[in-house]
Amino acid sequence: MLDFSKRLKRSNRQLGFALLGVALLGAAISLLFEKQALSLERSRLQASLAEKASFAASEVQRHLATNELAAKTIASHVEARFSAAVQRAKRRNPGRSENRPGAPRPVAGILSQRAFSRLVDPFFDAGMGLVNVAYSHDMRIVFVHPHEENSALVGADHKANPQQLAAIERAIATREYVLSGPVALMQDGHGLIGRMPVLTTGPDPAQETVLGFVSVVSSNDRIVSELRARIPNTRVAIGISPDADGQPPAILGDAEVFRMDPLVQSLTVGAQVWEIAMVPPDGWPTSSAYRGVILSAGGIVTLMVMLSIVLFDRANWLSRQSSLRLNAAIEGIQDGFALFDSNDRLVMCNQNYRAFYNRSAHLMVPGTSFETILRGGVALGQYPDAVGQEEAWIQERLAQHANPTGSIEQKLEDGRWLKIYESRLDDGSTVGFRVDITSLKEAQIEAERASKSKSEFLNTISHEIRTPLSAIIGFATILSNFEALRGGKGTPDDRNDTPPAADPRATDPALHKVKLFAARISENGRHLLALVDDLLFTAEARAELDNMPQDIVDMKSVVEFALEQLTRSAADKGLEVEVDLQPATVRGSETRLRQVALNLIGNAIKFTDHGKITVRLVQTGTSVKLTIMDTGVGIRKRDHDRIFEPFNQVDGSMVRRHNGSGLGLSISNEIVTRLGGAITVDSSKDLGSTFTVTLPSA
Amino acid sequence: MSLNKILHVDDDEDMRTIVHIALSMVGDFQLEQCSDGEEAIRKAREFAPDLLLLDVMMPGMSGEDVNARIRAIDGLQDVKTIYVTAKAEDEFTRSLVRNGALGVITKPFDPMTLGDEIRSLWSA
Repeated sequence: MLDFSKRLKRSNRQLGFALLGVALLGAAISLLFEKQALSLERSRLQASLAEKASFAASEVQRHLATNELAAKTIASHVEARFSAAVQRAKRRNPGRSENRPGAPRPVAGILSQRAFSRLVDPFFDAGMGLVNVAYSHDMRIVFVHPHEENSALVGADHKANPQQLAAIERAIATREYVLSGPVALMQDGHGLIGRMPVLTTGPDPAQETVLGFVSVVSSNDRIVSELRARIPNTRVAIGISPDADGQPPAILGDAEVFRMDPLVQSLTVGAQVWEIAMVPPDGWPTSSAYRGVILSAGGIVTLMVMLSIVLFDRANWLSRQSSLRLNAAIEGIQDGFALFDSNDRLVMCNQNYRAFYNRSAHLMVPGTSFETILRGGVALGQYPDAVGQEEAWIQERLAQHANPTGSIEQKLEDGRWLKIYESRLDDGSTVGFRVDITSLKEAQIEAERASKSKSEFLNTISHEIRTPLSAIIGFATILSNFEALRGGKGTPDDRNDTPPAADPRATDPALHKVKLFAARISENGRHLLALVDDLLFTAEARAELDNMPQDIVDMKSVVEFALEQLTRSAADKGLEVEVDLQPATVRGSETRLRQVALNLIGNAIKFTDHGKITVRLVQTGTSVKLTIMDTGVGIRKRDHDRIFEPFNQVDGSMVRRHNGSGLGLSISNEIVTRLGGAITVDSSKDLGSTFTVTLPSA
Repeated sequence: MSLNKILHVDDDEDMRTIVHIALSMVGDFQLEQCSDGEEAIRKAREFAPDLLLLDVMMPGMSGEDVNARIRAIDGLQDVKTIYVTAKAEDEFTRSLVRNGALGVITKPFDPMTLGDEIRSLWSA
């Protein structure tokens, strides 16, 4: 789970970074769009202003030309009037006044104010920013139009205004139209003055003299306002550079325009250079007109992208989470799980699946085919059942895998058993489960073994009972058909059945046989009785084993009891019995310990025909040792373990000869084992046997 | 083929006595008896029995082992076999018959009718 939340956290941080990135990118792109739109709008504005500027320049040029034309027309008119007056005077007074060149010539009589106004008026509205047009004669203004507003100017002496004198003199000197200014006007304000000298004309050009000059006065304000009227929706200003008169540069109109990165159109006006500067009415735009639209559209698009990222991430997260959860679930299955695709290649398997196959786990890599894994496993000895018949086993397993029905069991090299459930999915892939059924299988094997053991036990009991019964029934039947015996071809002679000659009854061989057979019946009956006793005794002892008392038992008296019981039978066989008993105590059941002693000492007597039996009891440290040594038939080494199993007397025939059931040693062994001790045997065939009982001392 | 010579192998002396009376005296067969497999194999060659009557559980060599060894002797490959057993299992009896035995006689048996029982298994 820790790993799980860590992954989620990382995913959230990544998502945060992604969203921040998208937001920044969105903002940058929106601003870029806005800038692009702005520059587009500016260039469109510039183009439109350039058009206007060019129009304005041509208008300025045209109107200034009109001013000049007015000045020249009026000047030549005045001149013509003078010439006509001179001719008229010549005709009346030949050879008079023309002899005095340079002398002032009166203007009165030649031109009246009214005539001048009539002359000027047609030009007045066509000119540029005209405030008045005047005629100065002998450096004094004599006529001015419009007369009423400017009547105060009449009579003004130009010589009193040194500022303008230079321009006047220049016009007179060049005898050309000279535009000058802007200058402070005699009226209020500033303006431009264009001057055209009026000359006398005569037959001799050298005698030309200047009579006066025509002034065309334009006001700065008027020029600018007329220009504005022609190009609406702009802020405009006119810069006039210094001309030959050394006037300082001047700006007409809104001087601020020149500081606003204006669009400038230059034109040459006489000796002057004019610059018409324009900016849009509100100055250049600093942001696009569509700024709001662009930014909100950009914002919306960015938000939508961010939202889709969040949704995608969420979907991705859910899918990843469900995939993680599925993987965790598959890993969590206690059984082995594997999935093979439709090409039978491993898609995935959990750790438990790998853990089952110790030897071939490393082959279980996604993409590996089932057959490759199987063959690899067989080669590595993963499947004990395949050993010796590898190819046949592989083919059978592949067939089961290809067409799965129900379940199969599989044995592994480490002794474990798997139950395999496989099934085919609709898309052709195969899922497989491996369930560890080792404990079930072991229980099954154990149950089968127990059942077999039980039936073996019953078989043995049956055999042990039937064998003496066969003898008893057989002899009894023969005896009950005694006549048949007599009429027979004789009796078996392999027994020592020669009757004692002293007994006359014994001379009857049939009678002898009767005695013999009767003895056999009684012998077999006793054996059967012993067997039944042992069986009952064993059953009783076995039932008591689980609840055996843990009394303190004096082992010495136990052994002495057994010896007392058996002294007679040892003496009957002529065996010597050597006894060496030291005091010793153990914990347990006195009855059962007597049983053990009787059994072991009894066996020693039973299986020994000559020699002696030695019985020793010693206590050494924490243990008590009872040793029973005989000089009897002995037991082969390979049979040492078997003798402790029930009914496993080494030699079946001895059962009858030695009159035992084969149960005694097994129950003795069980009693001693339950008391925390052990019985060991040291013996060889024909060299006698030594049984040692070791018990913890009390 | 008529049944005449029977070789009986049983480690139990009482059984040999009873079978001797039952077959030799009552049943009128020509009977040879042995107490273990080795002795039986030695005697079989010369005795050339028609039938082996074998105790199943014997120390050293079991009845089935004795049967196989005697059948391996030249001229005795077709000898018939009847087993005598004190075992209770039916399955074991059936497997003996499946492996070629004429029959299995279960202890205890009646010595007076043993000969008849063997004859009927022989002719069946």
